[in-house]
Amino acid sequence: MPIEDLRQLLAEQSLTFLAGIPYVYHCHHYNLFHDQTIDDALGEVDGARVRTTAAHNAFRELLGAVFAAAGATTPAERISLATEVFAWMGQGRLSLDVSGAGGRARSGSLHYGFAWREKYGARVKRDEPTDAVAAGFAAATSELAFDLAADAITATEHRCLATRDPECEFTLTAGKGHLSRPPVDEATVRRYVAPAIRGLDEDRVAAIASGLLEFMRAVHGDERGLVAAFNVFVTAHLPGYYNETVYEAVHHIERTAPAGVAAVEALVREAGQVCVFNTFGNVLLSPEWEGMVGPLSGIPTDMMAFCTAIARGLGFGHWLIHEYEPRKRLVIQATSNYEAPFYRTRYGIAKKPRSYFVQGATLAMMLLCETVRWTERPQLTNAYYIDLFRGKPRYRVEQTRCATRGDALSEYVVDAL
Amino acid sequence: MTPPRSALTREVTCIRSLAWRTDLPTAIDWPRLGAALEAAGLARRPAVGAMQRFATTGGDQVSLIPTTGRVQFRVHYTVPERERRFAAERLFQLVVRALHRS
Repeated sequence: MPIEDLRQLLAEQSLTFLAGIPYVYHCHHYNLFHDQTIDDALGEVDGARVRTTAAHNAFRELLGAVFAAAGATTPAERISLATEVFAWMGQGRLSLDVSGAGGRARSGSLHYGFAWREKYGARVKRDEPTDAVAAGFAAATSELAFDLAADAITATEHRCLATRDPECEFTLTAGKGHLSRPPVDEATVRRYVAPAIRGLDEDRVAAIASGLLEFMRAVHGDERGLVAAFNVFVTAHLPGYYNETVYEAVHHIERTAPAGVAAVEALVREAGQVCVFNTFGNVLLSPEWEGMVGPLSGIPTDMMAFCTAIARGLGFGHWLIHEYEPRKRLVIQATSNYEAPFYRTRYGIAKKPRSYFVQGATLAMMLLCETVRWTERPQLTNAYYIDLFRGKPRYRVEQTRCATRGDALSEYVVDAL
Repeated sequence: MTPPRSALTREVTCIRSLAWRTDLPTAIDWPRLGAALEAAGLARRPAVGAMQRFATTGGDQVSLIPTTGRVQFRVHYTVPERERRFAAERLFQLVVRALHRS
């Protein structure tokens, strides 16, 4: 069965699924920043452990569903299908040499290692491997191929492109054990979405989002399992990975160092800013966008409609513009997002708003729409990012409603300071 | 068709030196330019809206947007960084020659 046939779209909520498991699109800037954020919060050793475990859980969920849908029953069938799915997602092409007792895996083209080397390799020396996602994938694949329990195999990366090795290499051994978690599948997600409602400029937002969703349907990994599109490396990725890493990190700090909670929340919120600055920004400046939508006017109301459409097109959920007064106030609502179903399923009802990614993203949307001179072909460099986001604050964001807290929908209010 | 005087410049991008651009007058004969690129050995890829896409056997891409005149040259990511500018220049020359022929 072609992998494409395993995709589903909950169109009115702009949510995408593979074999019934949610997936979204994120670029290498976000992915690398997200992982660094987890390591900054927990330290390199615990950060890598949490990231690997999250990837392991997320890929067990996905691959279990994929194998069932495709009728893959033998170890060889399952390993072959799993590696094809991984490559299709733009995560890279991994060769697995495994048995029920473990084994080895290697790759010359993994998304994280390759993109890290491309982005930072010329000026930063790294000592720790980057590919926790591939490690978790390798462990999950090996367990499911041989019908082993969730805690049976663990994978460790000991060579990595990012540490200047010629290939990434992993060793798979008997696992140390972690609990199997309840799945967050399409049926679960549907329990935590509100009926879709129309926002400002809805017809235009919906039309562009629909075109983007259609474009993304044709995006898949090349022969190396990588996707170069919109001038960035793109992945189809599992919200389960992003969510478990973020919420485990935040909860750990809440338990062990309450004074640091505001700092870690700011860190994970910043990942949303990085996504909008880099992913949304590169989409907007790409020839693909110009071909699909046309050249950028730079008018803030246009740009806000475009950003909202991009969020939907990447499968982030049904975001809508509830209010927008340029340079003063923005209210974004979401009848669905990829954070709430995970949080509610794993942790229950939150005591405070927990949709950190969208909090950061909406603040960044306001800044990008108001500040960037889009018609002058801006360079979305790190220096420009620092100038925009780390100078004197111009806006603040408050999440006033949150589906993780039991509200019917989520609402994010950005006000000028 | 008389080829316009165009320059190759670095494109707005986050991957170092992978994307380059030139801008052509919107009035040129774009269908003929596309046909000339195919005749030069590039494979036509499915269009994205108004954007026409062509690829070399090595995976480099040329994208044409007739409505705005933008032309993007996207060098394949496996090309080492120090060689990307030269790869982009070769793509640019391909387009210039195609303009001469079309």
